[in-house]
Amino acid sequence: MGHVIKFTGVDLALLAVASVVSGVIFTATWTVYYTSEALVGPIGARVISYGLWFIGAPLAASLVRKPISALLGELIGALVETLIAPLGGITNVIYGFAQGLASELGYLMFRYKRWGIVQGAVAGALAGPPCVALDALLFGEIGGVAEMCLWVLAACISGAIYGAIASSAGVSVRK
Amino acid sequence: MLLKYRESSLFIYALGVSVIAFVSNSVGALLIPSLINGALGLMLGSKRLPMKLLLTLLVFSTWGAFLNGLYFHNTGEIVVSTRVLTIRSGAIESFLTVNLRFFLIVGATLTMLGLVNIRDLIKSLERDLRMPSGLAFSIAYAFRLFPLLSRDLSEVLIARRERRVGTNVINPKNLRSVLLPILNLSYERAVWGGISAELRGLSFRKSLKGRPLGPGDLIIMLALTVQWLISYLVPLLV
Repeated sequence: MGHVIKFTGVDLALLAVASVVSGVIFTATWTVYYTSEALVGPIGARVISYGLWFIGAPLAASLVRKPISALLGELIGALVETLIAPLGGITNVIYGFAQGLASELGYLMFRYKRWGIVQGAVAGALAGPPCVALDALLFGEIGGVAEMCLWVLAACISGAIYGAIASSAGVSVRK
Repeated sequence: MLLKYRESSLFIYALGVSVIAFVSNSVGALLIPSLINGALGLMLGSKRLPMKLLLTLLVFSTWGAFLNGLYFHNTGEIVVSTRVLTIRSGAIESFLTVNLRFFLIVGATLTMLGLVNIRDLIKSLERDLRMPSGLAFSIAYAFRLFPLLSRDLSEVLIARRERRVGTNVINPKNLRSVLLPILNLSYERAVWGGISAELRGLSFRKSLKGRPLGPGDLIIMLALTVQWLISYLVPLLV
């Protein structure tokens, strides 16, 4: 069992910080999403808001800098969101797990050696496809092939933008 | 009335009921579980949660479901037709299905939150469902940080207002500059909080022993099973 990842008390406390910050942002994003959907339609709404739901992973990873911190940051952030204002209910946890897992791949691609802004952007972008897939399953948001590709692209762009912002904040704090 | 139950049973209940929302895709399958959980959730959750905020968000989500129906499922027979808008049966059905899913998910979560204390829930997840103790510590610490972070955020926003810079946190232009001071403050707190937890033996902490299932747990699991059966059988009968 030489590869067990050991989280110290400081790591766990940093994970909590990332989770509570992202949990609050996740909660506020519901209003942003519905308002932007009413104003600019589904693609614009995804560009404006979806990335905000993906920031838990890059924020936690850039602060903690250990494997599975991205997954845990997104998952605990989703749990915090569920417990403070349960609009998405417990499904938030399912979304959080899927998105966190996808974001984790972003850091795995760099062999957990870099935790910078580029990695944050990649991690944010990778959370897009599972999120759109779960939307299709739960909310019946299923369009044509071209439409679905555009939504995934919009979610990825948004994820990359907010992922870069969150990880740049995390990197500045860790300096 | 003292029906003993584990808080984690209610977590499983909320999760199990939410899975119905994912799996079922007809109004008939969702109607009864949604009504049961919606009513229970509103009754129990109103005591502990900011219901005005939740109801406002639910109105938003209802509007969103209507738009989704129009965008993605406006097919079938014409139900309403005006010069500007034609609503077809597919849009109405999608609107109802998505809203029933919302009620089901939110209702089940509100029921859980109305019946448990968050601290007890975290403890129960660790004790009864064997959630790793580090994760439980993180969640518990996140909830302890919550009021401190809210206070920090309001102070940062006051300073930004005085300087006449943007206060909309969600705007990408402002997000980084709002996040930075909050993260800086929390980082310091987290480092010392983590060191203090380590000094008190966090790494050597033994996991708590699980509690036996009580009659309350059986009732909760029975309620979940009945709702699963209803959502499965009703579409076959209708």
